[in-house]
Amino acid sequence: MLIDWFTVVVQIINFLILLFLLHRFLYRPILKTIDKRQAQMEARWRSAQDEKDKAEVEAQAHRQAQQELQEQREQILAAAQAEAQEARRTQLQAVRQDIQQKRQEWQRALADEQQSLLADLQQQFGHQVMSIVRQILQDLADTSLEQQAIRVFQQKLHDLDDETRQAIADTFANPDQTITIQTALDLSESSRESLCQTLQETHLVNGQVIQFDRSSDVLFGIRLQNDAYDLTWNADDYLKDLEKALSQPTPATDPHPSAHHDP
Amino acid sequence: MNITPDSIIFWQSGFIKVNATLVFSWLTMLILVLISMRVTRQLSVRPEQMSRWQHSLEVIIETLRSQISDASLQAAEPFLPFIGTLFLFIATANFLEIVPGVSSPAGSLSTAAALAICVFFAVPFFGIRNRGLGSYLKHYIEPTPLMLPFNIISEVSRTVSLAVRLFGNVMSTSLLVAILLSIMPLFFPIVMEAFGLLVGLIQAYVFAVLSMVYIASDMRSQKRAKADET
Repeated sequence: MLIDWFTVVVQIINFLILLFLLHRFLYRPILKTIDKRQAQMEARWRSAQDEKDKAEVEAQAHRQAQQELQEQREQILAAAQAEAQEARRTQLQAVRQDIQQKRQEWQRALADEQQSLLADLQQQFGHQVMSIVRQILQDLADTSLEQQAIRVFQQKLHDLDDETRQAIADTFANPDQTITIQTALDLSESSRESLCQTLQETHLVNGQVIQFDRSSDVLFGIRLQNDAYDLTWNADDYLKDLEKALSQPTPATDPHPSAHHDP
Repeated sequence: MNITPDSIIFWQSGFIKVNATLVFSWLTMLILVLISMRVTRQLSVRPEQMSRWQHSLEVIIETLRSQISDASLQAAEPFLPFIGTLFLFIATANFLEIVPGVSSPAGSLSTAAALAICVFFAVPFFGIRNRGLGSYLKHYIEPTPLMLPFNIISEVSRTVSLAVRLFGNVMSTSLLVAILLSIMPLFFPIVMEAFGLLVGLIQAYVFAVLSMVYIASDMRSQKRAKADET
């Protein structure tokens, strides 16, 4: 018989004992250890997951803060740029105004200097021209020219209007005063008589003493004078008028009347 | 040559006898219990502090648990001690056969019958624990009471087949090795011993998985019946 029932019973008992012992010393401790390890791993996993979530939240907050910083930076940069632009514009405006003012001052100074230079030039030119003309007239003065001057003077006496003539006659009316006729050259007798005659004809002189005199002041012409009045026709007067006219400063003109440029 | 280690009797008093099957079974039990006690005394949760023995046992237990889960399609913890003990006992007993002079207790039909009887009773044990006595007994007369003898025969026959399969395979392997050892004493028996180890492991696995399948199929049939009722 292959089956020994005593052995079967004992083996069943052996198996149950072994089942109990292994359950006591093997399965329970091992399973408990495995479960504990599994629980620890899950706890670690949860912790890691929590840390990851926390890190993601922090990363998100960090990204947001970074973005806000970037926006603030851009705003500050834009404000600084605007401020710098405004400052630049203001300074440019001030510099332009300064330059404009200096340019106007410079132009004024230049115009004044130009005017002064031109005036000096005109004055010098006038003096020079006058001295030349005087020299020419002195060189040309002779009897015939003197005669011509006397004729012109006589014609002017004739051409006087009545009012002027009366005023001159009134001044010459005092018989105590001496009437002097000055010329640059000594007049001939005939010329003196001719002049006296003209004065009589024009009723400027009426019996007063007429004295002829030579004067270097009279360049080319005749001067009729007493203490109260002086009637002269003299080329020197023309020359003085011309000299005076030349000496008059030319009205200042703005070299850059519309020299105003905005940048 | 002894076909079964039951026939090797060391001590006998009446019907009480101590044969090789019992002795080597105790040896197997002693080895398993001692290793378990030694290893589980210093268990460590942290992987870097685990011993190699702890690693090995955890691998075995985890493998058993996953196999039970795959076969039963439910949580393995309630079945692990029973199925695990079946596997470890048979596998260790078969491994012991490599030691000269030691015969595997699993090669005894008495041992195989004892284990099969344990399975025979474990099936209703887990079934009753899962659903209750009445509901469990009811499934024997389903779908009709006419099926009662067939269901009983089915239960008995699969228990017998479980025992005979284990006994036949282990005994035949032992016999084969012994015969080859007598015919060709050099080299070939070593290969056959290695083959014997593989066959022993496979038989342990087959016995344990089949036991689990019997238990699980019984529980599944109860679940199906419960689902049909609702």
